[in-house]
Amino acid sequence: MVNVQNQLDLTKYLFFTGKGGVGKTTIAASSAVQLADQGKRVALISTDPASNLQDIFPGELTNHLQPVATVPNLDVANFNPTEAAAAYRESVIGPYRNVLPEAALTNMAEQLSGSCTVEVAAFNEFANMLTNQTVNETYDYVFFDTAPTGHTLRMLQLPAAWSQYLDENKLGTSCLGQLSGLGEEKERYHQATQVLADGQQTTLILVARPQRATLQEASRTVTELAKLGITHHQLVINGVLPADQQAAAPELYQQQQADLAAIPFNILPVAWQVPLRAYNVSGVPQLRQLLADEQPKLTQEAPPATDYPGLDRVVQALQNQRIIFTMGKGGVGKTTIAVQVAQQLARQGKRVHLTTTDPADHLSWFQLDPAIQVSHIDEQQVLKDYQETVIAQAKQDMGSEDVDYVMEDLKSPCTQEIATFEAFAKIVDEDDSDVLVIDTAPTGHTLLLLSSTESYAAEVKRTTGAVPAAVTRLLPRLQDPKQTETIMVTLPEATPVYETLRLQRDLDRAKIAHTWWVVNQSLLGTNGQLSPFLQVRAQNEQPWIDRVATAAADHFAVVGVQANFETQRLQPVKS
Amino acid sequence: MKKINIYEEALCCPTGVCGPSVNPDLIRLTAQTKLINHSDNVRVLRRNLAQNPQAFVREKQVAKLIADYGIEVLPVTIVGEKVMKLGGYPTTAEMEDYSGLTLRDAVH
Repeated sequence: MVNVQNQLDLTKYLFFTGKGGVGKTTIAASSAVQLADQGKRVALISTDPASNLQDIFPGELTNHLQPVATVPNLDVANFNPTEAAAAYRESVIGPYRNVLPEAALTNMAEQLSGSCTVEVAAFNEFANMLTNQTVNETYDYVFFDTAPTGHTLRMLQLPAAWSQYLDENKLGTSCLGQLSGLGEEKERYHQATQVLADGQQTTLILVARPQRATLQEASRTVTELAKLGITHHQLVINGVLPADQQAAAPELYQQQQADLAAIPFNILPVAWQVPLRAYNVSGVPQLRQLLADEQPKLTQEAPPATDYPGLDRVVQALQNQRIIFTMGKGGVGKTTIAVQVAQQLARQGKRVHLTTTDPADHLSWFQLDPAIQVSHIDEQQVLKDYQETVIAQAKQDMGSEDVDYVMEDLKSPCTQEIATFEAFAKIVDEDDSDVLVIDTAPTGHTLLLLSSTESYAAEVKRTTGAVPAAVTRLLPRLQDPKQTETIMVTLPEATPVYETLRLQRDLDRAKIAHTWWVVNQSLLGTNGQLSPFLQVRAQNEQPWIDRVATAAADHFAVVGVQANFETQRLQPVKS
Repeated sequence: MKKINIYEEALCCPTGVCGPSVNPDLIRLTAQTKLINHSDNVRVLRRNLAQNPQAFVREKQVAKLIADYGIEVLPVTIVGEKVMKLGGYPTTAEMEDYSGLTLRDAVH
């Protein structure tokens, strides 16, 4: 049996991070179960709004740590920051119902629905756990199955950003509405930050697939966290095809080995390689099975007869759109879908503009056809530009001391969203191609943009300020289903499907059309011969694809696994 | 002490730069507020719906205005007990008028 204690450098607090779908929950939960089975007292806490923890463990999980019937010594909590933020909002607004006019309540709710509130809620939970004396004394190990990377990064970045913000903001009002009322929490946040940065107490477990994109993501995470003084990390690679199975999928094996040979230096060495298993982890028995030496015998069954529609169908349906989004959590391969959609549209003779807000700048990895115009929004640069514009404006009205004051407001987390949104609006506005394909940032981030879109909708109508014309023109276009459509990209697995169902609700809220679903990287979608090992995995995809088919009211496509998509040059449009 | 009360809609920050647009009126008003509050006998108090809803409950005139005309009635400026301005921030001239101070030269 693989012994977790030999694989990981276990500290009291363990944070799992990585793109959605890399298996953070699986690795964290199976490690936690094994340690509990060995007699350690273990806590496992999820702060991922799309967590599938509830599917794995029996009983109704809540945001309080509670025992698991089938695993003595293990306590589990499932904390949903979205719900916590809603509860906070209600606690502020509730007392004023029937006291203040409805219009005033709506305005308050709008301001309290920002992304900040969700992040504050999630971090608040981290801080609670990291500073709680009882938790510290009760458990040998505390596992955090954190939200996927984009979100995680922000949350982990926040303690530093916040303590600075709280120190500097002498006025007491800020975007961090929750914090402005919680001055006494400052000490707790500060303490939590210290625990995070203390390698004796905290380890960051980077979970990646043997796949270039997720390894790059882990590398970026380490770079970013190092800036915040969090340097104690270990790399776990999940889903490695064992050498004795390479005949089962030679292409996949070669791709994995090639990508493993090119792991960025800053995340080496690899602490643990978890082999690819032929089953999905859907309960405590599989959590235990995952780390066992003996694996179940594969029973060869005829591959299910599948005839799933391909991406052509989606492109066909969307060919008269002006703006096409590909959306989904990091790791689902929305960039590869965006590239393929752009490529197919270009082949039909359309002038295509492909753009990304993804900080990873994934597009630069693809050898794109030169006929496609490509642009990228550099978020740090647009933030800087925005700050400079505002400061220039402020200097016309203010003395230097007061300009400093504005500068303070410009450091708030919301400013990044505003700046990115403006840059994005400008690209859409200036675009004169036939179709604009937008490969957006990972969902967490995208939703920040969309929720700011929502408040824009209300604000733009009657604002007295200098709203750029591009922004005013953008919203009606995004909300017009004749012009704008969204392809939601997901994987045939639990977490990505759950995340996409959340995305669907959020797009509803933002009133942005989202007719199409694409299930990416599917084994069932390859239509080729699969080895018995991969066949079993392929069969496990079916319930998730069925679920997507239902959720999408049949507006979906399945794209097969392409081992080397990123490095292969796509077919040129013209020879 | 003379009080200039400004009742504002829910805002991110006092200068409005982290809102959906930069409102030059807000940047100017922030500077002028600071200036006036350095004087001996006038105070500007800005009350924001998100952070200080209780102030809107206390000031019945404002609550009634919102109920009658909607949120568009904000910002509302009340000097002493008297509603002076609706639906917009006071201009520099109006702030001078309310406060009795000269603001123009100081600000620029």
